[in-house]
Amino acid sequence: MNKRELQRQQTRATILTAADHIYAAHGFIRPSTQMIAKEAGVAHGTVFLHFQSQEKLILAVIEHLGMALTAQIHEASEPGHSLSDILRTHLDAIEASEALYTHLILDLPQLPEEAQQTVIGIQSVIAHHMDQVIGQLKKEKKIKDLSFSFLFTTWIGLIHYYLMNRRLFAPHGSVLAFYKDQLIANFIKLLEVDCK
Amino acid sequence: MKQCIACGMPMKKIDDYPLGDTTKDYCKFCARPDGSMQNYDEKLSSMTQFIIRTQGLNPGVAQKSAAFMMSKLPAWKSNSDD
Ligand SMILES: [Zn+2]
Repeated sequence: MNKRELQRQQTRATILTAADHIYAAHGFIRPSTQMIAKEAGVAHGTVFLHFQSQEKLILAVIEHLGMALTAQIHEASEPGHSLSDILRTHLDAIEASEALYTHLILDLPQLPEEAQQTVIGIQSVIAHHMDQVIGQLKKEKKIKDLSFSFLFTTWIGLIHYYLMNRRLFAPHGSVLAFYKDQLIANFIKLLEVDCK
Repeated sequence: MKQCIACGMPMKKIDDYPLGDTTKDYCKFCARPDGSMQNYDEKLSSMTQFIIRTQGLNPGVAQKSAAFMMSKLPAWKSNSDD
């Protein structure tokens, strides 16, 4: 790679990191590209040289988040993991980018369709790992006979409710750092078949 | 460690490969019973069905999302619209 190309890629990465910080702090809708250029320490026009439009920049940040989350979930998932291990892997991955992920969920109705599809992609990865374990637990009659999609949307709904209302649950810090253990433990309790 | 070119899943152990063939670049979930790789329409259909079954989404939304995910993967990049 020549020096010019290297420099071009470095500038692109700098803008992406700056955008990541700004969107994590203020959401995707309000910040201007000027704000991001300032944060990145580049001229305003440079942002468009690399990302053409504000929408393309937003989608690049979201795609990057999606790749980071799915890589972390795949990486941390091992054969033989329990349901609790998998749920923890999911929450650990979200917690690593909690502010940005929360804004993605909150702003989703106002973002392009691709943002929604990226979220469905992240969910497909965690669903794939959960599916393997849930199938086995169902066979062994250790958990209730509920459809996978009901169980999955219940889990996602629960997590997203806490994240979207973080001001109510953890106004000064990470919702997941505080609630992760009890969310996992209680969700599993809900599914478990009572052994009397 | 290789990553499946057709669905993105990392292949960590022999069991992840089609018929245990580690020379393949795709995983067992992207293979036909004879070990060959599914084509675009087969993969689109199986991924759509997976999304419907696991996330309960509307079939049209599920198919659009599956096509979007596939457009980001090396095996299907040439099939995407952009
Ligand atoms: Zn695959």
